[in-house]
Amino acid sequence: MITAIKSGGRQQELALQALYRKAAEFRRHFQYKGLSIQVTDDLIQETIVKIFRSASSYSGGSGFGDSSANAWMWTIAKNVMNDHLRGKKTDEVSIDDEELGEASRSALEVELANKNPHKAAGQTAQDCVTKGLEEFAAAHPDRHRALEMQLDGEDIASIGRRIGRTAAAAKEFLSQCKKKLAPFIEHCTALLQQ
Amino acid sequence: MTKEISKDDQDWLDALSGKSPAGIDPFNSAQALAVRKALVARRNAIERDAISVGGSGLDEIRARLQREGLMEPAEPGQLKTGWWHRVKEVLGVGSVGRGMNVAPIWGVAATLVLAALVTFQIYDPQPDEASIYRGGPNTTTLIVENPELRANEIVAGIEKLSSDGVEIVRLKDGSIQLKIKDSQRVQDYLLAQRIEAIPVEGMIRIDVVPKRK
Repeated sequence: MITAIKSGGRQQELALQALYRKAAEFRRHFQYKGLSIQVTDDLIQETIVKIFRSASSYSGGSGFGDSSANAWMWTIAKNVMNDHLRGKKTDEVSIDDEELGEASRSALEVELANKNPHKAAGQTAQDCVTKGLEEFAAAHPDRHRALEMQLDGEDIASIGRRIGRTAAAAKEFLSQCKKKLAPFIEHCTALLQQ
Repeated sequence: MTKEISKDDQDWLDALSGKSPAGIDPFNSAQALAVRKALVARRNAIERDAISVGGSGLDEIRARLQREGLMEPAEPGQLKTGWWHRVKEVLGVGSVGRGMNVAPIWGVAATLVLAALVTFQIYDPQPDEASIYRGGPNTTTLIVENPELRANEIVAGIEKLSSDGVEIVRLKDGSIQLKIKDSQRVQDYLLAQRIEAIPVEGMIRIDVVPKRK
């Protein structure tokens, strides 16, 4: 996709359409964060413009299926949202990807999730896990994608090929995905045990 | 160096993929099931939202990209985003005045991969290929360059009318069978898509078949 964006012409137009569809993921995340539809649409536009603007400097692999390109686009989307939130809030919490370590970022993401206005006191275990997964998907888009492959019952060798690892390494990666997901849903434990 | 993963992790991953591992810890199982449901729900929601290519939002973004010099100005006719235009795009038939485009490979590939990402996948035993190409008297068969894309468009339209109104069956040859619950609204929608529906016992079946090279 990044290559298509850089190539111009007809391919660039198709890449824009594909990117606009992918932006549904970002839109969901922005709205989950409590942003209005109007603001969300503005941020989607900003995200896509930034992706186009930065495409020439992207040095990772190309193609929509490339995991690092996926993570790169997610980083842009989250930074656009964070820039917007910084402008709106005085008691802001920075989750700038450039400045934080992964653990700190995950903790802040969870903190933000807990502050989410959509959080209901009487939520079900499923609601709780759904919200946690939403945060996880934004924080670790590639790991989320790998869990989707597992969800689909994809063969471990096939998952390995898609994420550029051996079958054994892919299995270990999936196991690590479970561990990375844990902090995002550990507050659901009591609800799940019920 | 990789190490073997624990039984708990393996059980959790198996449960995530819909299996029922023997002796799985009940909490582990409950968590995996909840994550599975959340993954499916999230993907379906995104799929529903991802259908609006061609809307005013896309036009605004395109205009801004062009204003900022990040995108080349469109050629006449390039910005048409109706269903027929999209079919022509996928088939490689260019905009008015440009004739055939020989190899829109990148665009098709990107669209194909995207379609694969946003489509809920159901794997099923494969019926006889001959029956697909013949098409039954009660089946509408669409022969297209990109079945994934076309089926996705139809599914997205149907799901706007009814969230559980369509079942998708993927075949090994790349064809996609759609089994759609019949209703007047569904028939109206399909007619708008130039698809003649043939309801049988409350169901409409559409086979989306790849064009043979």
